[in-house]
Amino acid sequence: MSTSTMSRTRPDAPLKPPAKRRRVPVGALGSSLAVNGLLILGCAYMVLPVVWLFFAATKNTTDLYGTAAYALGEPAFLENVTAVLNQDGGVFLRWMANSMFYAAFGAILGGLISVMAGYAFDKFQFRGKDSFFGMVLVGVLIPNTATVLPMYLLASVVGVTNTIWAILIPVLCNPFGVYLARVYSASYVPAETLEAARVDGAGPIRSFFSLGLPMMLPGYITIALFQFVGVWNNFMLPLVMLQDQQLQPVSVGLSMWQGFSIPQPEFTPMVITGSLLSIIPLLLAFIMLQRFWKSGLTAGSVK
Amino acid sequence: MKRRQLLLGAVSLMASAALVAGCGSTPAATPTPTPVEDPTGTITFWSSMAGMDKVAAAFNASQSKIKVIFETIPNGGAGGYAKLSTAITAGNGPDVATIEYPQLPQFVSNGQLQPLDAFINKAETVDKLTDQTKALVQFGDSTYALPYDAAPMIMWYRKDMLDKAGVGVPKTWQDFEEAGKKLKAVAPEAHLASFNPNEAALTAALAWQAGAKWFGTEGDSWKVGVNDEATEKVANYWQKLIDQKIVKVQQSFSDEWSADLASGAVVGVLGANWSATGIQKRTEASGQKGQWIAAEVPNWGSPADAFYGGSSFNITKSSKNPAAAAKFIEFLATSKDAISARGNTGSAFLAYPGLTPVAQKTFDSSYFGNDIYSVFNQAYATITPGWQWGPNWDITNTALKDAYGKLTNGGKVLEAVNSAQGATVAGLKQNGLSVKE
Amino acid sequence: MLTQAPKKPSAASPKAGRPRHAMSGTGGRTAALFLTPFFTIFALAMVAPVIYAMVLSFFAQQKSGLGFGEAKTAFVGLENYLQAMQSDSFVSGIGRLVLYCVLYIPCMVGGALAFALLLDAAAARARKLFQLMVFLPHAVPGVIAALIWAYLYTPGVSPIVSVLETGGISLNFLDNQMVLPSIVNIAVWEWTGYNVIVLFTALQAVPREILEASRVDGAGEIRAAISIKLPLILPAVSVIMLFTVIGTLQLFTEPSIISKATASVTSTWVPNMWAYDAAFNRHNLNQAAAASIIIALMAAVLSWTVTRFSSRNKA
Repeated sequence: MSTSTMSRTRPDAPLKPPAKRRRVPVGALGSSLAVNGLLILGCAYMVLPVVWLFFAATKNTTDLYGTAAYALGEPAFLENVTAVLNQDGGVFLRWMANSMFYAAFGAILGGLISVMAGYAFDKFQFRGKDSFFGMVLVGVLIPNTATVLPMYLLASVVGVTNTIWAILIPVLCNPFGVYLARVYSASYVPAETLEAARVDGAGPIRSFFSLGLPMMLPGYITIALFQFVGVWNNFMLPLVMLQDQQLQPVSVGLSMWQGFSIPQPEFTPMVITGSLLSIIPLLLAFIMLQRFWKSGLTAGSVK
Repeated sequence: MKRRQLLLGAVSLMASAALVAGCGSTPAATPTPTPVEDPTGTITFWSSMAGMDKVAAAFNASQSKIKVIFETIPNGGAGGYAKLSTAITAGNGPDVATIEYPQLPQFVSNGQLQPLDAFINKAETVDKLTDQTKALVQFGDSTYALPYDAAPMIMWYRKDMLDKAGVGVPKTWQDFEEAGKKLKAVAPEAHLASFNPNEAALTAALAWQAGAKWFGTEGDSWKVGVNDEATEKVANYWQKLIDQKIVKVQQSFSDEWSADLASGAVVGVLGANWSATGIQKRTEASGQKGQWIAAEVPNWGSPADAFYGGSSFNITKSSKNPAAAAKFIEFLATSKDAISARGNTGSAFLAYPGLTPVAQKTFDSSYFGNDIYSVFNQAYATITPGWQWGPNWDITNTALKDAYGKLTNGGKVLEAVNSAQGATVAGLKQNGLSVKE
Repeated sequence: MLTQAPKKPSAASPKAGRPRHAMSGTGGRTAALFLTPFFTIFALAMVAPVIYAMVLSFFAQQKSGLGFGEAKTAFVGLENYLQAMQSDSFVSGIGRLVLYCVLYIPCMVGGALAFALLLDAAAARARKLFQLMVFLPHAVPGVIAALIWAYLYTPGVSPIVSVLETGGISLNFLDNQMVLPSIVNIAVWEWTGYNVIVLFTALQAVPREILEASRVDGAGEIRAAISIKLPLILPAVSVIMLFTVIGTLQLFTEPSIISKATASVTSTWVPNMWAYDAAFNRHNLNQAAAASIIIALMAAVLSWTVTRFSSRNKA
């Protein structure tokens, strides 16, 4: 992959704004309408399904099949939420807690591990560096799901299936994070600063924690955020590893309720309302942390 | 050089680990169990059947020696058996589980269940069952389960739509086809029933009714005939119905099916006794109360029926307290209190004599237009004897369901049945079993 | 094996540019410290499982007779691989993935490109809002997205189906012909927004002078987009394509959810589901292992090919 026109600047620093604002050409009012019209259509496609979810969560079973989609049925939202929270002794909240725990663990600790590795690849020289980084790249390119079953096979021989370790260890593994961390380390942490610290007598570990990591903090947050979402979204791993309902994350739990809804249609509103409740944390995280998202996507694509 | 040796060493280590692991997963010979007079302890119970939590609670309330912890699991079609099997293999399965008859031989052959004989009072339980029911839970010389329901296949109709079409309740399959045509004439959008591509067990039941024998044993071999003559007859018949749009190909329990029942696009359900609740829930909002009736399934000339569905209770290999588990199973399968505790969750028809009237009393069948339990009794008396389930229902089930996926795309029922036969024989042989066709 | 790189005397520490020699304390031993956590996890979570799966895939559980006795583990060489490759459902699953790619990649990449170009041309104020909205689906986990769309495809519940019905079009999104495009649609919905942001950011890097020059030369917006912007963001597009193609091999979540809503999606519809089915429904762990190795190999070949292809193009 060749280098792009973007130079090695800090990934999230905005490019110098153009000298003058690009003027929309005269007579382009029509085209601006077209542009905005198309954008509105596109965004409608993106947003309407989630809006549907909001409306559907307000209906009970009969209304779901009875009333029009974007009409509010007899408001059953509170009923639905209560049903979701009460089902099986509040297992839904347990699922949410599990998802949070697994995702946060993977994000914070896994992020740190990836950052340390990326930093090392960037700042240190050692024999075999390229081959090791090659292994990292191979890890990036292997699809997640191809390793899930082998992981399960190994885990069942060792006896850790159906325990949290079956999830916690795999979620720490983030080769893409290592790759990103190397990019961030190169961009955020100038070698001169480290050299100055070394001259002052600081060991490499000390420099990392007191200098390198703080300078890379935006990068670390981005990597952690990506990892958080990746773990939260993960379906096949917990599906395969965990049988105990109390250990499952919310993605697997909801799919199980979907299974229940086939013989027992009362579960359908719970699946819908549960889905709505479960996406709220992520939606909030997205809106609040947009900046880190954009920087991560950029860094990942440009190199 | 050194590195290569290291690598070889590592690989051989892993290989031997795999061998050891492989050997370790085979079931060890079970020691002769000693009967326990008065079992106590805490046991776990997994089931996907509605109302079982209440039954467990009733058992706990009725005595203080054994405590049952209940957990809901998905039903078979949604991965319930995969979950159960995986858990048992990993050693953390429940003490008591619910397994339907088609899947039972598979669990037995995988060594995942413990025989009940040493722990139950045979005279009071197993010996009181009919031969056909016993055949479903006994393998070799051991009893591996106590049957819960004995579910005869039942046809459910919208009486008002039959009246509208000017037909009576079909007695034979020929009558059924005629009725379907007449219905189409007065209500072109309506279908007399659905063909469910997700219910391979229904195809089995229909074949069973026609006298087919998909699985049998001959000495030390299995004899597999998923596409035998009787089944061919059934397959061709249903293909005719599909082609004439008398039945609609759709998944049972799907949202589409629910919507069609509510709207009247489908006016009949080929199910079993347990279909009642599902039909009621899906149609009561559209004012169909009193219009649904139960009837004996149409036959090929003389009354015959088959079991469609039905579950049994078992002790899994994971159980460390089989004596307590057995006591609970006896309660589940033979006690009147267990039936009444379950409440109004289904129109159960039970294998153990004397229980069905209790279930009948607990179930509110006022929604239906006739005495559904008397229909169940009549149907139960005509079950065709001699049916056996094979050692791995999953292979046949998956093959049939996959092939049925092509039905809306030009595939034929007969092709599906033939390919299921091929897949079953190949699959069983792959596992090393001895198979004859 | 990591060894310490030779140390140069610290007096010769470099001033400008990247140090070509190792600084003391940045050699092999320290690197080992920093890299060990990651590579331990990597070994546990990727390397060991794959090796174990490879070993498992050469064995099989054999029963005999009626099958009610014990099973024996036997070495069967490539038998499991052969069985998988000869299995109709496995092979058609692979074919389905190819078809999926053919549908998905143009739609998604084309859609993302179009969106990004439109965003680039849009009024700056509305841009932020559009960006947020287009990215929204990515905040929805795959399972939830599949659940939502499963309902949106179900007649009786779905507004789309009812609107089409009143318009006289009767589409069954979940029947045999439509189910693949329907699943492609779910993926398009999930991923386009993500790639729009990537491409849009890449577009911001296009130097304004070139665009100004082209406008002076009389090129319209569309012409400028095609001849100038597009070639300059091609690297970003190739990266997206690489990750998308590899991601396709991951397909598991959406078909699993949709399979509960329709018979058209069988339990072995894509290779990952086939492997899952082998392990959990048919209890044949050895075959599941073989299938997983085949999938991993396909990923390796694919990424190698796509990388070769894109670097050859750019060279």
